[in-house]
Formats: sequence, structure tokens, C-alpha cells
Amino acid sequence: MKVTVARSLEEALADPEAIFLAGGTDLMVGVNFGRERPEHVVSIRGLSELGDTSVGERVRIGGGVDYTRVLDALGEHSPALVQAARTIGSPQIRNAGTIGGNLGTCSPAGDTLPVLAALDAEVILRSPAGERRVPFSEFMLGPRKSARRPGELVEAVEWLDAGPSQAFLKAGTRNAMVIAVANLALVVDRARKAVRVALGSVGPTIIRALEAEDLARGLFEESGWERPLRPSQAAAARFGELAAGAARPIDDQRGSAIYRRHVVAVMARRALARTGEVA
Amino acid sequence: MAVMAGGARRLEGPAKLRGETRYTQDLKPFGLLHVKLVLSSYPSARIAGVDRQAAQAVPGVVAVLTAADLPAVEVAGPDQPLASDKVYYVGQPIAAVVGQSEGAAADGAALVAVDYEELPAVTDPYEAMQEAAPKVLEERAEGFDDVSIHGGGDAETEPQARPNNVSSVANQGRGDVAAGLAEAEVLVEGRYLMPGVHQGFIETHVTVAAPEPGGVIAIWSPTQGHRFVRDEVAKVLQVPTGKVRVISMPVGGGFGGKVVLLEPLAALLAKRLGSPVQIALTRSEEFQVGRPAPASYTDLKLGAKRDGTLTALEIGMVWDNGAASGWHAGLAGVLFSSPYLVPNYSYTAYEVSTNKTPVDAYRAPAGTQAFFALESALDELALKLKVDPLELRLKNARREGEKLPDGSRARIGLVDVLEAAGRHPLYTAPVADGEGLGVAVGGWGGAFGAAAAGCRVEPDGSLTVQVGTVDISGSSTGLALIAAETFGVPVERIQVEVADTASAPQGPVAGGSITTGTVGPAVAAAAADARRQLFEIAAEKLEAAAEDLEISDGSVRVKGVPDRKLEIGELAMGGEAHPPVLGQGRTRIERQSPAFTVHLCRVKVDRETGSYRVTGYAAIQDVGRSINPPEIEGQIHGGAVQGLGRAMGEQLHYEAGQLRTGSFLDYELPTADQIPEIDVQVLEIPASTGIGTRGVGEPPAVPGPAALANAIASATGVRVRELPIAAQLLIG
Ligand SMILES: Cc1cc2nc3c(=O)[nH]c(=O)nc-3n(C[C@H](O)[C@H](O)[C@H](O)COP(=O)(O)OP(=O)(O)OC[C@H]3O[C@@H](n4cnc5c(N)ncnc54)[C@H](O)[C@@H]3O)c2cc1C
Repeated sequence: MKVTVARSLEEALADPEAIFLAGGTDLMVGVNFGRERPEHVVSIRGLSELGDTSVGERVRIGGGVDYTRVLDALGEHSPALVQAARTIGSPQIRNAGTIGGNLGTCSPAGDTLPVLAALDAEVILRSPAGERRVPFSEFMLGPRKSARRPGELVEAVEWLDAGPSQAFLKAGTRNAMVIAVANLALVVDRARKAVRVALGSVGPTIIRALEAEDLARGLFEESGWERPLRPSQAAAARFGELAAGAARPIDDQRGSAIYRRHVVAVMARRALARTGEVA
Repeated sequence: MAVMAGGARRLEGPAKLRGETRYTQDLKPFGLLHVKLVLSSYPSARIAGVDRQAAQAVPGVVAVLTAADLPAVEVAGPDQPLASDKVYYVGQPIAAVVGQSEGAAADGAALVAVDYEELPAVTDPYEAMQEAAPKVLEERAEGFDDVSIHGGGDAETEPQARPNNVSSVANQGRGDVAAGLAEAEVLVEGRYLMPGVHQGFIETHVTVAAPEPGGVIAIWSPTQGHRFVRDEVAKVLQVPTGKVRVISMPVGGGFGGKVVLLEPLAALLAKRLGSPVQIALTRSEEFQVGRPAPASYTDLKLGAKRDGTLTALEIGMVWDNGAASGWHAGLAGVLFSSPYLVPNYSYTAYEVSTNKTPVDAYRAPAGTQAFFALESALDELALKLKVDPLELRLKNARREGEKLPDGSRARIGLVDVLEAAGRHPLYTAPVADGEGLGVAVGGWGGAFGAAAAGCRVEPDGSLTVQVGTVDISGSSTGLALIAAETFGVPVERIQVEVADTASAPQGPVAGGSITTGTVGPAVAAAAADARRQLFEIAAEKLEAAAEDLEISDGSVRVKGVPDRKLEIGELAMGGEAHPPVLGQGRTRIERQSPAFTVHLCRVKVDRETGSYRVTGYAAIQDVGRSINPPEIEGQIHGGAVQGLGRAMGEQLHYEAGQLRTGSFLDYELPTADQIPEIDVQVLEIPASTGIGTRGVGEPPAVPGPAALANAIASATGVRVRELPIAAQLLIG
């Protein structure tokens, strides 16, 4: 196995067959389990080009930014991503694991992915041919399958700041160090009058719950986008049902399909209650 | 009691905290070779061939060896150092790739191609008992470990017709269960499931073996029983025990899972290659190759009168032993009948073999399984009878002086711990909305057996206590306290040496909460003997009668004459003038002194998601005589957490014989945020044997699962009989 420590983007992109190593929190697990035996590993950890973050009208997080830095950089901005980053692994994992790695692995249980979907983020990919921007909705194609081509780097993710009405919830068998049984992100962009709900760990890809989004949009329309939303119990329940209806879960030792659907409904109701309060 | 009051923190603690302790993996003998094992990918298969060409070509690979390259051994199939022709479980070692570095060995191992002829496998114990199921073991296989280590009686086994893949049947009982059940006015009945679990120690299995002059093989191992390792390796190598020397290394967690595993193979490889070799498992190998605790299925019927008097207890158990014969059944039968007086009792348990990793001991083996069922059932009964759960237990508890299952009338403290639990604030404080309170009892038999100890006085005036039992729990610090108090010097002046097998006195395997109870009396006797010898010498030099001497401030003094004194070291250094001081202690504990504990658990359940949080926990335990309070508290904390871990998340989940929870991401040990403060309350009801101690390590690992399940039932009305307790079972 050959290992290259890239000092520049050019070096990182030189071999299209190479496998990138960022925090290694997914890749090394694969190697340890004998699932992956890469011929050529390129460490991208030290690349400053992947490390920039900026907040403003557009929010940008470099592909090489670890979760601890996501928490620092975002502060009050994009609270759903902050909440997701907080639930990932343990302090050690958050110090090493990166957004680029979460996208590189593209597991249906990746905790940042429903948030990126609900933020309607763009994934910025870089290859020797140049830059390519792919909306998240076109990025994830299946479990561990994405539109990223071999040798393409996740340079950054970008989205329009959607304001503070956001929530991320995660159901797991314990509170820390846990792969989601189901997770959910809700973003209410009050300024642009948009609602997006995305579900993780309940299907082969991240799933947008479109009917639930429509219902919520109607509720906000009715009560006023600039005001707190206090939906009726029936409306909240219906929102939960619609979200759960979008899920396509399976049974495994972490949880049954029935439970996953159930917990999606609960999380959706709670997310709506939380985001409704924040105006 | 001057020395012991307050006890002592671990004598070896500072070295561990500073990272100075040298564990087995830190050993780097000259010329050390590294071994990577090629493990079976099939639950059952014939090995048609092993292609090692590609592996041998890897730079740094020294040898690729299979069973055919090693002397034939007389070991049951699943326990063979390397599988000779058949594999019985996924993870069974087939070949050893030996390299100059770990990397070379691993690269080589990845290139070994095993040609398997897949055989039908059975991984569910109930399917295994069907007529048509494939036979897992050719014959009853004697495992490495055995029940005697854990202080259990023999299973009364029935040799007659048994279901398929049942290696033995344990039958125990008294009275007439059918009549007892008929007489019952209230009945509780259910099946309780506990999955297999791994001990979860931090240090995975590791061992180093090296050839020594005279055909001796030296083995360094973090084993719980180095003398046991010596005997097993000698048996496998077919050499006298004197040809094997085992050096006990610091144990990075054992919990019953580290007695003997890789040592016979390491010895065979070292002998064959003429070099020191190290075998160290990675975490995922550990999950497949290590010996976990068996899964159990318990069918229980408990009958009682309306007034709460128990009339009958009927138990049917199935132990899923993986590819082993198993030995838990007899123990569980005794434990089921130990806490309560039930006039009619019947217990039948099957030891079943399946194509999964062979099982062995885990802290309080059979205890956690038995008490999960029994204490859940008692809780259910209390709810049905609408009586306080502690009252119900007190009504039926075995009281001091009543005959125990082994026929003795040893002093026990069950009633005392129950009464203390009733006064505990966690029990008496009101229960909030959405909160639940659970109680459960746990118990364990305790120490018996023989041990010897030596005690030397060193020229610097300190004492070296020599024992043959490994320290897995802080026990050596306790032994030092015993020696210090008996001899009359501060504990800092004591070294406890776990000598290698060539010079160690006899001592039991460290397991089953027996070390302090069996080795402690021998240490006390050895220290007393050394003191007597020292006084003999001092009496002559100080021209005083031995009865008039005392030890204080590191000197032997004549009582009442402060100036007439000699330093201990000076006396011991007397050279040729008098015989040296070498104390000896030899003791045997004949009867067990059972120990009981009550755990209290408070839980809050989110009825919408089913997720729950343990909000309060207390352990009340009878420890007999307390030797070292800080370490007792540590043992109780650790045991309680392990019990809660099994209750909340740990499980070896297999699909078609493949382990699906073979990493710490999937195998959910409890995390710090899941565990509340654990309040420990110690009761000292002296045992009638030895130096009055009771086993401390096992009891706290017993009640956790029932305590949590009972708390959850109290919070939600949902009775969970299956571990780990999953959120999906609790939604409202
Ligand atoms: C103990 C533990 C707990 C965990 N808990 C969680 C959790 O709670 N939630 C969760 O979502 N995940 C969790 N993970 C998974 C993992 O930490 C995350 O997926 C993390 O984001 C991976 O990032 P990394 O930098 O470590 O990626 P690496 O392991 O370095 O890489 C992962 C994959 O992505 C590719 N890659 C990495 N960076 C880039 C890039 N910039 N461009 C293109 N491809 C790239 C690599 O080639 C590789 O294929 C956990 C992992 C462990 C070991």
C-alpha cells in the first residue's frame, strides 16, 4: 500500500485511483475489518484548501473541516448542523471526522446528511477538470453511493443561510457513540417561505418528506411566517404521520421497521414544535 | 484494625496511571516474531486445503503454519490450537502466519486462501435440539475452563436419552412442584432471554511464548490463572508441568474471559520456530475468537399463596454454549434456589451446542442469568399481589441459620440487605410521574478451596508476600493489608509477588470472587508465622521473652522499655547468626459463605420514543468483613455497570453464524452518560469461614438487569423479559 501525504490540491488529485484519507474514522474501520484494502492512500488532512469556513448570506464549510471545528465555526448559525455535529461519535471522533468524510462515505445513517438535504446544500466537487456543483438532492444515489466520481474531492459544502428555525433529532440505542436508528432534520426558512424535512437511516438514501413539507408550509402560511407556530395536536400528528409515511425503513438489530417509522413521527412532531417556537 | 481502617488505594495504581506498567503487549524479547491468525469464515466446514504460497512470498513472512505442521494434539475440535480438518464456528483459527512484524504477518494472512467444504450448520439452540439438526460436536468436548473455578457444584446429570446437541442435562429439585403449583393461588410465568455477551475488557487476548534452555517453554500471559495455563499447556504439549513456566502479567481486564486461550498455540509455535512469538488479537478478532458468556433461555413458573408465601418454583433452562459443552447449568440450579425458601422446586437445564464461538465465564456466570428471571418474576408477583416488593422478598427470604442449598447453615445477610434497602433514600423518596423504581436481589456462593502463601522479611525491613493467585481486582492490595495488619507494619512496607509458576505457591484461579477468601487466610497465616520467627530471633538478641515483644515503627521492641529495640531489617539481615525468616501459610476453606446484595434502580422513560434514562442507582451489599473499602466500592461500581450494560445494550447478535455486533460501535457497552452516580452501601456481616470475608466481585454484577427491568415495569407497566431492553418495546 502506497501512502502519499498531499501538500497541495494538485498532489491530492494527481492519482484518480487513489483513496482519500481525512479523519480516517470510516476508512480505517473498513481497513481494520478487511473490507477495504486500498492500493494508494492520499492523506488530505493537512490541505488548507479544504479547511475554510465562512458564514454570511451563504454558509460554506470546507470538506476537510472536522466536527469540533464545525461547532466552533457555526456557533449560532445553521443550528441543525450544529446539533447533528454534536451527536456524532465522541469528542475523539469529532476531532478527527470531517464533513467531507461523511459525504465520502455517504451512509444512510450519516448524521450530517439529512441536515445538508434539509438545507438544500450544494456539494462542491473538485477534480483536475475543475469544479462541479451538485445539489445534495442529486448527490446521494444509494447506500454508500454518490454522484462523486473516482478521484473527485469534496472541496466544500455551501447553502443559503436559512435562519434559526431548524432542528435535528436522532434516535439511537444510547445517547453518545451511536449510529442513528433514525434521524431527522427540519429547516424552516422563514424569509424564503420554505420548509424542508429530511429523514436518515430509514431508507437507502436520505429521504425528503415532501407531503409533510407541504402540510407544514400550509401551517406556517396560515399562522404567519414571521410568527411562532403552535400547530393543533391534530395538525402536528398529521405532520408526523406524513413524515413517517415517507420513510422506507428495514428491520435490523438496532430497530424494527415499525419502530423506525414510529420514531420518525415522534421526531417530526417534536421538530415542528421546536422550530415553530423559533421565529 | 489499625492498618486496615480506611484501606488502601491500589498499590500498583500510580504505575498504571503514569503509564509505567508493562503489559504483555509491551514485551519485546529479542527476535520476537508476530503471529496473525487466519480465521474461519464459515460456521461449519471441512478444510479441504490451505493455499499459503502467496502469503509465504510476502517480505517479512517467516512461516505459514497449519495444524499439519504442528504435533498432533488431543484437544476437542473447537478448542484445537489450529483447526486440524474441520471448523465449528466463524472465527476459529485455521492457520498462523508468522512474520518479523505485525504488518508482515497481517499482509501474509490476508493472502492465505482456505478451501472450505461448507457443512450444514446450526446456530439456534432450539433448532439444534431437533432430531434433524446437524451434530455440532462429535463428542462431549471438555472446554478449557471448568465449573470448579467459579465455585459451583456439579450438575447432577442424567445420562439417558437427551435431545440432539445436548451435552448434558442438569436436574435439581426438592418437594413436589406439581403439587406446589396446584396449591398456588397466584402464578407468574414467562420466558426470559439473555443474549450472549462479551466481557468487554480493554486489553484484548495477547500472549508471548519463548523456548528456554532445557526444553522449557516460557509463557507471558495476562491470564487470571497462570497455574491453570501451565497445566493446560503441559497437557496439550504432552510434557510434564515442569517444562512449562508461566509468568503472570498485569491483567487489562479479565472478568472470567481470560484464563487460557492462545497460550497452547503460542507454545507450539515457539517450540516449532525456536523463537519467541507473540499472538495479539485485534478487537474484531477478540469478538470472534475470545470466549464470551452463553445466551440463556429460561422458562419460569412461580406460584404463591395470596399472603405471598411461595409454594413452587419450576425452571426449565436452555444454555446456548456455541461450540462448547458448557458448564453453567449446574451453577444456575443452585443459585435459583439459594435466596428464598420455596418448598417445591424443580430445575431442568440443557447444555446445548451450536456453531458459534465457544462460550466460557463472565463475571457471576449463571448468576446474572438466573437472577434476571427470578427477580423479574418476584417483581411481577409483588405487583399481582399488590404488596411491596421488598416485603414479599423478606417474607420468603432465607434467614440466618436456615439450611443453604449445600446443606450448611452458614451465616448469611439476605434479610439484612433487604431491610437496609427499605431504608435507602432511593427507595423511600416518592416516585415522580413517568419515573419508575425497581429492586432486585443478587447472590453468589463465594470462596472455597486451598491456598498457600510465603512471607519473607527483606533486608530493608519490608515484607514480600508470595502468592500463586493473580490480581485481577485489586486483590493483591487487600492481601498486603492483611499481611500488614497481621505483621504490624504499614501497608507500604509490603510487596505482594505473584510468582511465576516455577516458584509460586498453590493458589486458585482468580475468579468467582474467591481470591481474598481463600488466599487471604493463607497470607494471614504466613505473616503470623514470619512474625513469630522474627520474635524468636529478637527474643534472643534482646534477652526478652517473645511474649513481651511488639512491633512498632519498623522495630521489634520490648514492651514498656522503649529503648530496647532492633529494626526489623537489621534483625532479618542477621546473616549466619540465626535461621532466616520465611513464613508459611497453608489453608483450606471448606464451605462457601454466600453473599447477597440488593440493587435499587430509578428510571425515566420517554413513552413516545421508548428511550429511557437511569436516574438513580444504589447497591447495598453484605461483604462479610471488609478488608479494603475503596476497592470494595470500586468492585461494586464496576459490577453494577456491567450488569446495567447487559440490561441496556450489550449483545452478541449472530445472523447465520456471522457475528453482527463484532465492534464497539455495534456492541454497545454503556457510555458514561448512561450511568448515574452509584451509591454503595456496605454491610459487614462476618462470614463464618476463613477471615470472615465474603466474595465481593461477583454479586454486584448480578441484579442489574432485573433491577432495570423492574424499574421500567414500574414506570410503564411494560414487562420486558428480553435483554437488552430496547426502546421499541416501551412505546406507549
Ligand atoms: C466510533 C465512531 C463513531 C461514529 N459515530 C458517528 C455518528 O454518530 N454519526 C455519523 O454520521 N458518523 C459517525 N461515524 C462515522 C464517521 O466518523 C463519519 O462518517 C465521519 O464524517 C467520516 O469522516 P472522516 O474524515 O473520518 O472520513 P475518512 O474515514 O477519512 O473517509 C471516509 C471516506 O470518505 C472519503 N473522503 C474523505 N474525505 C473526503 C473528501 N474531502 N472528498 C472526497 N472523499 C473524501 C474517503 O476516501 C473515504 O472513502 C463514527 C465513526 C466511528 C469510528
